[in-house]
Amino acid sequence: MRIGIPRALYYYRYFPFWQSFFEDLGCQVVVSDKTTRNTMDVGVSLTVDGLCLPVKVYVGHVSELIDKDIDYLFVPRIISTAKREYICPKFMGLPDIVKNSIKNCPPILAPVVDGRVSSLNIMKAYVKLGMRFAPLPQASFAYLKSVKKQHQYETAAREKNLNNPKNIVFDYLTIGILGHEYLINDDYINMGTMRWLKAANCRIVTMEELTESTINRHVGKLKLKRMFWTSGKRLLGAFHHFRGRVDGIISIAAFSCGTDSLTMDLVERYSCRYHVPHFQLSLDEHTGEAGVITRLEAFLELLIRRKKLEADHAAYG
Amino acid sequence: MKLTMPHMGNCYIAAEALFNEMGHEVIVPPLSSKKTLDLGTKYSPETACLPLKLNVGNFLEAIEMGAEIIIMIGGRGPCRLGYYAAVEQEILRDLGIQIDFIILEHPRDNFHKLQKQLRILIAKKGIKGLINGLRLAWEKLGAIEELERTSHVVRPREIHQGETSELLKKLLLQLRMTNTIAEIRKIRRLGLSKMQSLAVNREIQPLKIGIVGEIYTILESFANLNLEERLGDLKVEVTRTVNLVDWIKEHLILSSIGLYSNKHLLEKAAGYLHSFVGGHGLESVARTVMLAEADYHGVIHILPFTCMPEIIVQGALLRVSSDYKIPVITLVVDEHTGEMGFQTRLEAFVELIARRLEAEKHAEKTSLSRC
Repeated sequence: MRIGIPRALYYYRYFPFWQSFFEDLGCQVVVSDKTTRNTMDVGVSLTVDGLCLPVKVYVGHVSELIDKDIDYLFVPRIISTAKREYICPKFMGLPDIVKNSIKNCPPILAPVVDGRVSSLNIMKAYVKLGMRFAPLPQASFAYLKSVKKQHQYETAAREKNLNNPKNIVFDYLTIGILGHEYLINDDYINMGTMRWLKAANCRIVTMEELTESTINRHVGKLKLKRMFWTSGKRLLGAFHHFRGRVDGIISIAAFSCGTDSLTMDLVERYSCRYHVPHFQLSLDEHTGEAGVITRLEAFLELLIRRKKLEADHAAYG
Repeated sequence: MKLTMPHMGNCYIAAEALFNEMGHEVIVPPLSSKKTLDLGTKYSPETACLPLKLNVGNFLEAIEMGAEIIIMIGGRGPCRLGYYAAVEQEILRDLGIQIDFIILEHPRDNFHKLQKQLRILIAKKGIKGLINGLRLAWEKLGAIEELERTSHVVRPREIHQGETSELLKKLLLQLRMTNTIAEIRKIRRLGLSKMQSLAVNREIQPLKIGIVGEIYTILESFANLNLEERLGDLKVEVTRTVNLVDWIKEHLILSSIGLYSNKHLLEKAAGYLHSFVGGHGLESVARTVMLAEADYHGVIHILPFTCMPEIIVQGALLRVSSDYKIPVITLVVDEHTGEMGFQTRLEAFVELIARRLEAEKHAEKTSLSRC
């Protein structure tokens, strides 16, 4: 069995889990290629124009996968990954979006990932899915093993950060990045922002490097209504972890992303209150790379000046 | 304590009655207007949806009139409405406005907090005031929605254009002024018969169009640029598939005791949407299918720009439209929606349906003559 997984959206978060799960069941995992101009164009042409860019790109990836001779397409319906929280309505309707935008779509595997009440429901959904390819014991075993793999992957991602050089030299900037993992890690969607920042010798910290407990600790301190979007909660938690620890924060959001329209606004307000340099990049299919780079350069210049000024004051102080 | 609340259609009449009966002074913000929208747009997040912007505008205008406490509803996701109140608090805070919010959350989410808030609200007249207020508000809401429903039927048939809207306005004003249940019922009864006895042309067979979509933009006539009136003037009989009475019954009363099920909607929407997606997403798809099955001539789908659930619906409706052969138009509204463009699109849509019907009739005739 060849299972197609589009290289978009939560591929960037759960791929180790999905890969291990399907391979343990004896399936072959086929991933679409990296996002290109063509992927985006195809995605944009197939979907309704109000959708956010990452979902359009997702549909583009799906249409590229169809040509790769796959038996099934894996599009999970992710409702919630944590108790009393949601992801985003578009993830809840993702299989339907795909089916409604693509004609002659291969059969879709769409487990309903709903951990609102208990994470046992997530396990149930995956085991049920696994039982299409293997008997019950093997499916449950594959699930448990994949959860462990995912955990190992996440720990490794965090440790990568700990090994980063800690002796920060002068005008070596540390920049916190806020944004969904599918924007940060997709080099084409974010117009090479991350690549550019690394080339400019910035030390980058992202949300992925924070543990769940760190985020919950910071969010718990806020005098704000409980955030019911997991991604929004992570953004706010990460912001409060970053401030004071980094020189500046860059947030990357997709235009017309519903959850970000509110959470990024909150981030903007907090960064004014706490005097954190904050730069917001809004991405859509019309974003031009040159404009992005110019604005990034200006922001870095500003951070460097600020840092120098602070260093001078300290010297005189 | 002067209370205020955001607008949504005509339900301020019911909300005002509720809080008045509980012994509070209510400041109803001026009906949403261009000024409200400008104020709201200025201070709200740029890509937030239209209702949030209008809410902020309403609040600012009400504060100017002396409001001291804002009543707002909460929610628990995944639609943005659930987080409106939190963001609105931050917006007003950053503007330097000190004002208290009472955010009414779903009873199943935080019962303790709801109890505490209710205790503040009923401090003046006790439980009795609350019950009286709820009964009065419920009665008013029922009357408002029935009058509106009737106006949708009468308006396309009226001989003197504008008569129905005028009468409706007058009746709503009367409803707002009364505060006994007996009188509300009387106005409802008399109003209905008055509306039905307006001069109408009985020969007109208006087109029947259903409206589906996001609840705020359907109910708030400023947000939808008076969609229902415009359609009525184009000789279209409108059916609103969303109304507050049913919404409260289903989503507040039944769902808080765990009896609400959306199984019938899932069955209708099968093939196009297979899950709840927040807001009225599932309802929109299921209701469009129902309208198609009930031989409606067309469906209008209305949503605020960037509305998350309804965008998913938009894609699904494209397929419903071609499968059931029913014309569907999606209207996206935000602060940039222009009146002329909106009217043109409506006229074109209605014209298209009318021609289609004529062509169908013609085809029928020719096939009959051949027999």
